[in-house]
Amino acid sequence: MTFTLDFVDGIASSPTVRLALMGGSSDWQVLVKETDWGMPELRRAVAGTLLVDGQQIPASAYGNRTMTLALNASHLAPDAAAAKFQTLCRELDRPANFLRLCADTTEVVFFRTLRSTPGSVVWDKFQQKATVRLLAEPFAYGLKETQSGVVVTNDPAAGANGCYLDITGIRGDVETPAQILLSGLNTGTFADIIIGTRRRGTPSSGAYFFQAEAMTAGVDTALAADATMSGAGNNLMATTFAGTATMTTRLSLTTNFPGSSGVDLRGTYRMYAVVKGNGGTYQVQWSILPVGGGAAAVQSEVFSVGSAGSNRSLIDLGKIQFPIGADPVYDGYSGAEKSVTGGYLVVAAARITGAVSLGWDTFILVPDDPARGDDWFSLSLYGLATDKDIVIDGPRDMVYPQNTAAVTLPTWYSPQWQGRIPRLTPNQTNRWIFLRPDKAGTDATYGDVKSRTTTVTVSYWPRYLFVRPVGS
Amino acid sequence: MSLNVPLTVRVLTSRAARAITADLRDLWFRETAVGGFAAARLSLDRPLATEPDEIAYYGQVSINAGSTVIWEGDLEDPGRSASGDGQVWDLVAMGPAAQTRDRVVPLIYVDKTLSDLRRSDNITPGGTNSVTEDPGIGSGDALVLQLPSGLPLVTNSRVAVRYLRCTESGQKIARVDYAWDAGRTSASLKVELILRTAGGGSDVPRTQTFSTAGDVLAPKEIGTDWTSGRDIAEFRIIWVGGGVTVADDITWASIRDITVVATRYDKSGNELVTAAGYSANTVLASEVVADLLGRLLPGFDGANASIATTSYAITQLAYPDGVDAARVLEDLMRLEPGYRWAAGRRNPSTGKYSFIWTQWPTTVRYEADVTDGYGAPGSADGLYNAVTVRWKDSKGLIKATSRTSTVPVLTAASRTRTGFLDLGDNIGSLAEAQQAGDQWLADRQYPPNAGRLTIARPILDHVTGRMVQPYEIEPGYLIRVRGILPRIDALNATARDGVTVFRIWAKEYWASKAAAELELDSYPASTARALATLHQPPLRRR
Repeated sequence: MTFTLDFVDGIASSPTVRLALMGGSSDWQVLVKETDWGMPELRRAVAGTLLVDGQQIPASAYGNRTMTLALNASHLAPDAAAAKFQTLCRELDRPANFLRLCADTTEVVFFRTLRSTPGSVVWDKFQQKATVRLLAEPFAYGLKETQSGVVVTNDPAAGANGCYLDITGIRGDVETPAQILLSGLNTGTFADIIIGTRRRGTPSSGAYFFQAEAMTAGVDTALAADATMSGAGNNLMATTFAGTATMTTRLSLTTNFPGSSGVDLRGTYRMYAVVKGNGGTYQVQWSILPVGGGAAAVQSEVFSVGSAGSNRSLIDLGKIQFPIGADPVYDGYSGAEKSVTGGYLVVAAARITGAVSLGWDTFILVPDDPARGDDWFSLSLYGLATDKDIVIDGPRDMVYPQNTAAVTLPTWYSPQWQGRIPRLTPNQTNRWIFLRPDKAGTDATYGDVKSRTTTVTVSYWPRYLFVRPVGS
Repeated sequence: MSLNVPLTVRVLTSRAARAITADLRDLWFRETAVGGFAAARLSLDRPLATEPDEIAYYGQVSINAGSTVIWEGDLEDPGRSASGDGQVWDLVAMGPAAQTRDRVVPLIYVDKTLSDLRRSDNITPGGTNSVTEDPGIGSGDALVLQLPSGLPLVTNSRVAVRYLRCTESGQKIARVDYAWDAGRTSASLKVELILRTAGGGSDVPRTQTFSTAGDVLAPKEIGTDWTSGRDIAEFRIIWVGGGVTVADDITWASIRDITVVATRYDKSGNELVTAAGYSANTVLASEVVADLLGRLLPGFDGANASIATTSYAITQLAYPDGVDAARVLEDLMRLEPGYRWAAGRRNPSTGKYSFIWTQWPTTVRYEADVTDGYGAPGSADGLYNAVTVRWKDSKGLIKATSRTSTVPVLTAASRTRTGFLDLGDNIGSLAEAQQAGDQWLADRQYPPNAGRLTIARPILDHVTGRMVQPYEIEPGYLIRVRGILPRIDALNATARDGVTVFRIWAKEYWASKAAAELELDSYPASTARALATLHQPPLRRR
């Protein structure tokens, strides 16, 4: 292990060294004792009055860091030192650069630096020294990490990776944006991609999928079987509207929705339902009753469900939070998070047109809680050719296609996307709820198929505040 | 937990769709109870020498929190600067409310104006037309058409006046109604209503022989009584006998209570050209709102707009000199203070902005306190216990109507303060002037509860049942604030408990502060009264 510091041409395992600052007798020497690596300032918004003690920090963000490098070239002949000084100035003058640091550790880190200048220079007969105030992005970066591709199905009842994937072993000190490659799309259809991330607590203890056949049948509703729906046997609830076509309860629960009480239920979600409309148009409204029954604690708006053809499709049922109502989150000052209980879900529906039935497959809760770091992201694949992949590029905050040979295509094709590109939290299981609904109503040829798969390959650059330990 | 402000900002032009969150120097946006998304300001660094693909006039700006659109609008002309601070584009985006000022057109809804009836088809120039006191009943104004004494007549001698405002505004006539009287009874004289199309074609929906008994209101309607497309209403008297000289001064007809209703559009943009859409000599504010959506506001999702039905029957609403949708909506809210309008998020399917015309709420939605900051300047408007209302009557004459109210504070000080309210030329009837005057006084009867409240933490939202972030708070709803002693007003019946209910009039959010500032006021008494009326059970006849 050695202490190395040099300007390089990129974050790579063997980058080209542009200027060595600790390289040997013919290079600059960093005076480590006089060098300050500078930590990024944490900028905070502060809110408060004299009405209460203390102040609220509603938001914070890291600012850039300023490193002060003390460089010595006194061991070089003046002409050689002048040449090194010129090289230094050229590197500092670049709009952006990369500074590789190996601080006697096994792992190296890279700082993305910004245009800077030598702060002060001492140049006389006996010594040639420069003190550089180097501006850099807040975090140091590790080499790109790429996880193995995960094949995610469209079937929430599948044994593994059914509408979700877990990403673990994330390295780094702080969260980092993901770079996601979606391949095996085979599109040319009207598909959307919806991703909701849960990267706190124990995501596996949360509840995200709820089969409709586990609910109590209401008016004109009964168990049925349909191989296109998730699960096996009687795997859906079918509402015929034979007796009552107007808005009334079709499904209900007298057990907790979405699952058992726990701290991992806490959060805001966007609720979807997988249904089969058979060509009719409908209205759907849901309510959450308190545990034990009673008047609805919250009731949604009325959602209009367009004609879904004879295929299963995904409908958006708006946002829901658990717990319903006021949430203290913690028990006083203790920091102990209070357990959350759901409620009794009641779903009402009306048929507006058609003489057909509405099938209910699954209710899905996609995390959508930006204030808690649960990112929600949606992408339209409309018009994407069948031989193309999609890159969801968090570091560049951009989404673009590329052909299967990983060549970026001209951006004439601009995927429409919404929300925030997912981020990854280190030392934490990151669960992504991953949906790929096909708009069956728009083109019945491309019905939503539960067996359709997407290969999701996640890459990222781990981020550090300074140095990195081995394998982390 | 303290994280980055979790908002993302995207811009979309014909050339590019870009996420610019990381590039922004600052972000501010505003939303108001009336109008919805109002304005946003963003600044980012880009070279001035070229126009970046993501910056263009009327480019779409979207501010999101996860799946929720927090604000949307269109870029206006961007400001640019080059200084020691760099090359900076200052972008201002306007919300959809700005589109209500895009078009100024003449608009007729219901018109009782007599002053603009024009003499036409003047083959009997000796005949006279005037707007004067009705000679038949001795009071009120009427259009009086006369064949005076000594005038020689031939078959089809006639006096005709035409209502031309609809043809001038490009609208069709949907309904015409009037009552009439005559000075004599004669089978050779007729009082007629003719509906014409400029350029040719006509129908005669109403023709009656002269009778001193006259006739009452008998409305005639499009589709039923004339072919759709008629845009001129002609009122005339006509002599159908042989040659004769008028021997006296009683050969007149008075046509009173003239009402012309023009065709309207439904909210989806379909013109209503059957009688089914015009069942009264009045118009409802909700019908006018639908017409504005279908006629003037193509950028709004009229088909899916939510329009609450109103009840006040408007007897006069006409803008022959031109008006924009914003002004019409303002006038409607003046007549129906229990309602407001707002435009919001785009419908992803249509790309058009959502629109609502809805009642002011009566239940509290949000709970908050003053911990993050509160300020309340003194009332600037003051209290009034009298008002003079200026308006124009159907003859085009300027009128002044006085209204009074009881204001306890002024009564105790033995003071009378008289305000002035100008209704312009477009809302012109005594009933409307009295209504507007009473509403104006009600709004100034008590010192208002008002102020600015800072919210920098999640607060409870009773409607959605969850804690919402400051940027998610929606104006137009009621908020209960702990820590402020209320003044007695429409929303606060008592002042004992240190809790005040406000209306959120507007919200502004700064990303640099990670906090929202809410402009608060209370319901004017006019609004409260209107809401109370809306929620009363209907009277039942016994």
